Amino acid sequence: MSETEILLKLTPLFQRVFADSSLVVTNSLHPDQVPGWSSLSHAHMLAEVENVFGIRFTFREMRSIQTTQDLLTVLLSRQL
Amino acid sequence: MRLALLGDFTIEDFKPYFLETTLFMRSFSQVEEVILNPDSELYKFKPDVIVVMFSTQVLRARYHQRSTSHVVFYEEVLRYHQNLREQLEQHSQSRIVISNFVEVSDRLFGNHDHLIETSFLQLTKDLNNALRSNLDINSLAAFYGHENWFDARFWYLSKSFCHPRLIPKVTERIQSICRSSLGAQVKCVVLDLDETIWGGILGDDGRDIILGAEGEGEIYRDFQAYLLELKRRGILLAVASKNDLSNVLDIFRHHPEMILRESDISVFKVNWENKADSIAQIARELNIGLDSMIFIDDSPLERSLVRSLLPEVRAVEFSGDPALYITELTSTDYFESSLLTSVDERRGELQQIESERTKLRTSFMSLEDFLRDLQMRGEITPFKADDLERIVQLTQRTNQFNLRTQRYNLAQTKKILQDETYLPLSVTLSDRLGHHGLVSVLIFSIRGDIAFVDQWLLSCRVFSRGLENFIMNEAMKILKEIKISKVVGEYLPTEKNKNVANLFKDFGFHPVGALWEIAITDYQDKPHFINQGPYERD
Repeated sequence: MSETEILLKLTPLFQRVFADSSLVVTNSLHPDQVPGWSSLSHAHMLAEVENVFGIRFTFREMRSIQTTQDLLTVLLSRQL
Repeated sequence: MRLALLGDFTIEDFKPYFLETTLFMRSFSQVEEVILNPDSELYKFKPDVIVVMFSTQVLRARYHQRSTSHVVFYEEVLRYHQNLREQLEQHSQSRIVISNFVEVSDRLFGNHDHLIETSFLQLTKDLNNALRSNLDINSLAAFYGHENWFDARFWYLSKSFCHPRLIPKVTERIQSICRSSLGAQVKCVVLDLDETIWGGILGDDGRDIILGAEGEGEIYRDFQAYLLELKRRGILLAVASKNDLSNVLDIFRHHPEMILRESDISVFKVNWENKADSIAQIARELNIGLDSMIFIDDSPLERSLVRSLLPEVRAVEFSGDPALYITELTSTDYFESSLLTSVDERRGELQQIESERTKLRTSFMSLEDFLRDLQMRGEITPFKADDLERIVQLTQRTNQFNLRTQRYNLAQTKKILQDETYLPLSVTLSDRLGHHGLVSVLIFSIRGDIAFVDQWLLSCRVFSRGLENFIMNEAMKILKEIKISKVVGEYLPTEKNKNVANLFKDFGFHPVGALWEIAITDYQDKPHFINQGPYERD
């Protein structure tokens, strides 16, 4: 799965979890730019990504993910 | 509703599920701080309900790090929790809800954990027994499975009470407790009959309904037994069914496999009216609020009607598999109660007496609005070869709306299709909830300019929706086009088709001997809310 494909798949997921239907996920999206991206919804987002992509993060990976770029790094390393 | 949520984990995770509620939240060690200080913001907040939740993760970490014996640890924890509860009761007028611990084995003794008095599993069990908490998180965690519940990664990441996906299940529990303290406690369950408390259609199957100790019948028997338990617990049972009362009472009185008996039912509303009216009448007769009623019906259409006309009544959403009725009903938490009292246990009986005293009529509600909102589409066409099997099935099985109860087999039906002296019509119906398929068969035999209604039947699934009016209107148009001047009908009574005894009369036909007649020019179109057209999927 390429970076573009991953971003495309993340967009509806982010829109749902962060309750913003106009949200477009890019590789530079930062929590500060998304009002609904709090520490609470962050955990939901991780759980949903696991669900939608059918993967399981390690705790270390979870800790490493702060921004979309971090998430992409982990997802790309999985060679989905 | 003012709700205080306190927990020794990140209880702020619950916030998105309480958008309608005024919240006060404290996590971790702030919990004891606000509870123990009589002047704290918690008590100033004056909550209606205070929910205090303790995680097994925190308990377990403390337990494993204890410097005392198991017994001393247990005594200390018990005293700590008892003290918190006493302080809460002393300093507030609020309803206090405290969670129990999830009873989980840490498997230090493998399969023997449950036998060892000093295991962590035993500690959680002993605490739960001693504390008698009123928010049963232990059962909830067991229901979804400890493997899902305790996702350690989320605990270490953000001190989540459980896996984020299960948090809504916890908040639903809390919400149902809040609702029950607002007085919207369930007092009555209104039951449909056919395909709900027994299988099959009473009007068609009679005593051969599906109910018993074996096969599918066991499902319905167990469901009835569950409903009887609800009655024992003080919840009234009522019936709202589209059936003939005499048939229904015969089953309740004489069917050997019935668990529910006539005396278990506080009110019977068995008629062909819309069920919202029946439920409103039941509420009046029992003198209870609509918001204290639950409606159980296998038909998505009936549920949708009741939700539209009586939004306060909770219609249980079923997936459509009778084997799951109990599972789906218990997962609703509709039967949350503040406390069970002996009055509860007697309530069923007392209200049944009251109901017998006051048989009240209720105001009419707009069925029209509901039917209009359904966006029904009907189509009447000559028989299609593909439909013959369904048509044969309908003529074999339909008993209630069936004027002459002519049973045609496949060969006879094929013959009718080819015979030019017959006009065989079939009708399909769809609405915004889905497609009902072929639901009616209408066969005219034609002699010159006279059409005789050889066969007219309508599936009981689509009664009371004005479909017969649509069909008659459309049929009359077709007959006019082929220059028919008179329509003749016949009603052959059976045990099961009393419903349609007056059908021709209602359509303006005149009795002529044993038959009914109408000049086609005298026919007045009947009102309905069905548009002409085939089924279209969005």
